[in-house]
Amino acid sequence: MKQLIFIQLWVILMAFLPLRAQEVTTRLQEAEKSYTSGQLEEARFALQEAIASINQEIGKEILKALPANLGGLPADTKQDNVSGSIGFAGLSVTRVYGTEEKSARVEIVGDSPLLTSINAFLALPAIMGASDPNQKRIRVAGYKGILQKETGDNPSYNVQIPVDQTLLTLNVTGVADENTVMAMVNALPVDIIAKYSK
Amino acid sequence: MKYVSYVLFFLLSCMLAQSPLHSQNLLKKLKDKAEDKVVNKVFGEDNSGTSTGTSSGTAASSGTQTGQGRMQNTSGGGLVSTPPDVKKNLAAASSAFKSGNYGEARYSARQALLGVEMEMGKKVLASLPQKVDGLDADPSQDRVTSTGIGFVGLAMERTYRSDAKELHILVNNDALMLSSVNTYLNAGYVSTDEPGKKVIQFQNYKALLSYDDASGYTLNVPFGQSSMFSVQGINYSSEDAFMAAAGQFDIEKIKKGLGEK
Repeated sequence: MKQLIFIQLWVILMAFLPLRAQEVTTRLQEAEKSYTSGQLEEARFALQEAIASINQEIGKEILKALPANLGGLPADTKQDNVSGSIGFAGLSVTRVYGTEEKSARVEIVGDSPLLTSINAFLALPAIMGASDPNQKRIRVAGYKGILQKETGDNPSYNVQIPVDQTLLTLNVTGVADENTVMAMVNALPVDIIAKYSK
Repeated sequence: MKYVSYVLFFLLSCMLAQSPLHSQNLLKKLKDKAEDKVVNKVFGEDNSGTSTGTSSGTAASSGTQTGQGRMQNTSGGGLVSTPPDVKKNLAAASSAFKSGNYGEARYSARQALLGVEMEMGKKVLASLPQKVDGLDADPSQDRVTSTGIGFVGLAMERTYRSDAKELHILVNNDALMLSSVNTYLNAGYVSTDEPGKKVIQFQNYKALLSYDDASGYTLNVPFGQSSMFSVQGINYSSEDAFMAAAGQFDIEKIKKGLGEK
């Protein structure tokens, strides 16, 4: 009986999983049909929807690649979020790790408006750290990034790493040790994020 | 080359013969000389003091230079401004997506979108008049910009110009800046006696007309769900003259070209 229920659940799951994939294919077909018939606005809309759906798929793949546990903090998968809009930021993936005392928030934003300023900042190593002793350049999986320490009652670290056209951000709260934060950053699947951000 | 080898050999002999301190001085001199040579080579200067770095004639006519300076480009056809092939990119997106290459699929879909938007933009520009208020359109200034993201959206620009006057047209679709103008129009901040700005009716659309001495007259007309038509008139003698020129553009036609409701 249990086996039968499991098989039924599996069949239902398999039936729903490719829905988004079908949507992308359908949208691309719609776009082609509209474009061929000269309905440019319809083709445009279908393409925008297709891109948003592809972004959703990419977001899911990135979430799958993120570790279930980051620096001893378990992932709160209920808070997992993927936004695949074609708007200002495009793809946006969020995962939260944590306990009551410590937490980490991973954000991956495609076409982030902050990329230009961060890249400009990273291109001037002489300035980094000179104006702010709590800030320094780091290198993770070959990508340069900024590590910013926020001092105060509840210490926190903010790491920003431009990965091609995507901005990877890790915000860690309640962890005072920089090495622990760096171990958390190094545990992130930067190569997989890079693969999808091109 | 032979001369340099002789010099190097001579210097090496001297270095071996002299005390270590003297050798260091010689090395420094040699290094300085080499650096000077590199700098001169890079900047096209010559030690002899003659001005061989200048071009032998006008760049446009000959395109060559006799000196060591960088050659100036005087020919070439520029870039091919063909928009991306929509059908080809759609097929590539579909195939990449099916094989699980989502990054490639997104890139190709974006290229296809860019191709569609470029076509839409060119269509809208083609629907605009060629001559307005006696000013001819300057085709070299026609621009269609598509970013595929909402900050700029799809933008089309055209400039009409004479020696004395200029009319600049900007049509924006899916643009973020639109919301600020709409807020301005809907919030009733603009009163009739506010200097430099007023709300007017333009072809059945609520529009914002502004003027300042530096940039002349500007008319912003939001239309459809997410589009805006902007006209900037430079050196127009009066509001009436500017509005008569702006009135030669048909918003409904532009709206249709963008598929707006």
